[in-house]
Amino acid sequence: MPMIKLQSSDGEVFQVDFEIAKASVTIKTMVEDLGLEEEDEEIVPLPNVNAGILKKVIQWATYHKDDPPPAEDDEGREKRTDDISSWDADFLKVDQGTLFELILAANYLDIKGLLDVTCKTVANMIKGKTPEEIRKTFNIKNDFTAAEEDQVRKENEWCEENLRFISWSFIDMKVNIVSNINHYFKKFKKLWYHRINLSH
Amino acid sequence: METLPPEIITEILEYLSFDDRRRMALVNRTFRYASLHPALSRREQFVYTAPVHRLRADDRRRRFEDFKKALREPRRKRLCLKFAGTNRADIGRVFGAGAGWPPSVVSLHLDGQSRLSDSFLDAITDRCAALEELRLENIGRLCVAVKPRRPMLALRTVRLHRVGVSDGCFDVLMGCAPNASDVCIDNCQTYEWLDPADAAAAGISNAGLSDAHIVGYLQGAAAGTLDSLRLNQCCHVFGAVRSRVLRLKSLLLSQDKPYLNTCRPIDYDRLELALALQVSLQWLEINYLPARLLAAVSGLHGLRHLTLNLTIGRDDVRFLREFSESLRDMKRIGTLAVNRAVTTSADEGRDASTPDVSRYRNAPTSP
Repeated sequence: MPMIKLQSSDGEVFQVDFEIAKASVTIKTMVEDLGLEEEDEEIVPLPNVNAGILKKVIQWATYHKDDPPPAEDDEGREKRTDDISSWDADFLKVDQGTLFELILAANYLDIKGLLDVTCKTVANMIKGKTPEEIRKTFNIKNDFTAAEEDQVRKENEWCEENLRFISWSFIDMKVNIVSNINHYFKKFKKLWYHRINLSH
Repeated sequence: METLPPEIITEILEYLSFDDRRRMALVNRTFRYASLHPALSRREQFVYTAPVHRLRADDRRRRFEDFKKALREPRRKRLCLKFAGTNRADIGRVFGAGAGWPPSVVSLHLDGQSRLSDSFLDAITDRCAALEELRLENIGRLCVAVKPRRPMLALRTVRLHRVGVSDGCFDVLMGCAPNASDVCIDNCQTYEWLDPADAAAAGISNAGLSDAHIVGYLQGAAAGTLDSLRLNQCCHVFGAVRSRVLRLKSLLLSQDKPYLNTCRPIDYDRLELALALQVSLQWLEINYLPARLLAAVSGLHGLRHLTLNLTIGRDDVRFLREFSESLRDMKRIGTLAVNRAVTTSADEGRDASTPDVSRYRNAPTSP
């Protein structure tokens, strides 16, 4: 199995299966552009990622190596945050600093799956909180002047969600059903007949 | 968290609901700018709703000026505007000469006006070149004259809900939207929504949009560009269109006031035929129409989304049976909802008062 050597910012070298490292589009293009061969002793430097984070990223990529490629982004599709797998949830039980470093690394290495799941985790931390609570959670300083804050609040008053996306949102629950189609329709038919009998 | 690059903050914000995003904008400057990203603004719109209580004229004006100030935020790249229950003076201020318009309005929704005239259409054709969606709702009378106007080439969606419009004015309006691909005509032929006294005050006659004219529009001007059509309270015109000229992707047929059906009888045979010919349909919704249309739906194998609210009579069981057989061939279907519509007419089922609902959504069954 072809291996590849990745060097973190603090000099540590990790030997990784190329199939796993390929999850990162950045590494994949780098290897392709450099034309690295199996036996090469070349080391891929990753100056933006430290050893601790790189280790976590490799751990994540190893677990997810058999995942299907991530779906294309759908316009207008409501993004969900409640579909984080339990393994990922456990994996991301880390302190905030690490979580944000993981986001940066996923962004730099261009690993869509990891970026999605980390962003979802942060979004979940924000949900339902007031601005003050959000500041407290993430230790953010309020840099608005009183006048600015007032203005933003006023602007938001006029703002409403675009209803078009609500009325169409149930389309987004679309799920691939090819494998279970027959089983499903059998069930559906039974219910139908049941219902018809009831009403007559 | 502030050290994250802005595109990632935007990404995180995309996962949040609208209200969460709104609170997020109040946290600090970084988040406020992130919340103005066009990827997010597409999903929000600015709504001006007339105050419920009577305000003094100058208070009213101040409120309106506040609203306009909020629009001037230069980073709002795609503005969606909605005006609800505004009075004539406000509308004059919005669409009159010299009104300061942001150039980037992509969606405009007007709800509740006794009358809209030339100044409105002139204003939007003149200043909203980027307009993509126009939605008019509860407009007593749309009165526009034929004159040269700049066509709005970006305008794809035109929705008319309860708009009093005559044949000629309809042509003028649609002439300004030569690329309209998503058209909705809902309750534009009757005025029963309007208080008779109001109607008299507004000088409205009952001469609305005629059937033949809608058919003419669908067959003529719209035939090449239209791929999404919604018809409410005028389904019968769909049966009259030479179906081969339309290749729709999305269709809604609805008669939400069944008691009016008796005044304007629908030729269901032709409707069925017209529906059966729309084989390119992916999204279909049928409301308050009889179950016999299922025979036509059964042949539409390209459907991805299907919602049916049908009136089901005693003899309609065979349609249901055939339809459930045909579901096997609809390989692409993602959402499916079949409901029994509540009807007011006497000849339908006995349990008309309780909606008999069986709502289906394809959920993954674990292997």
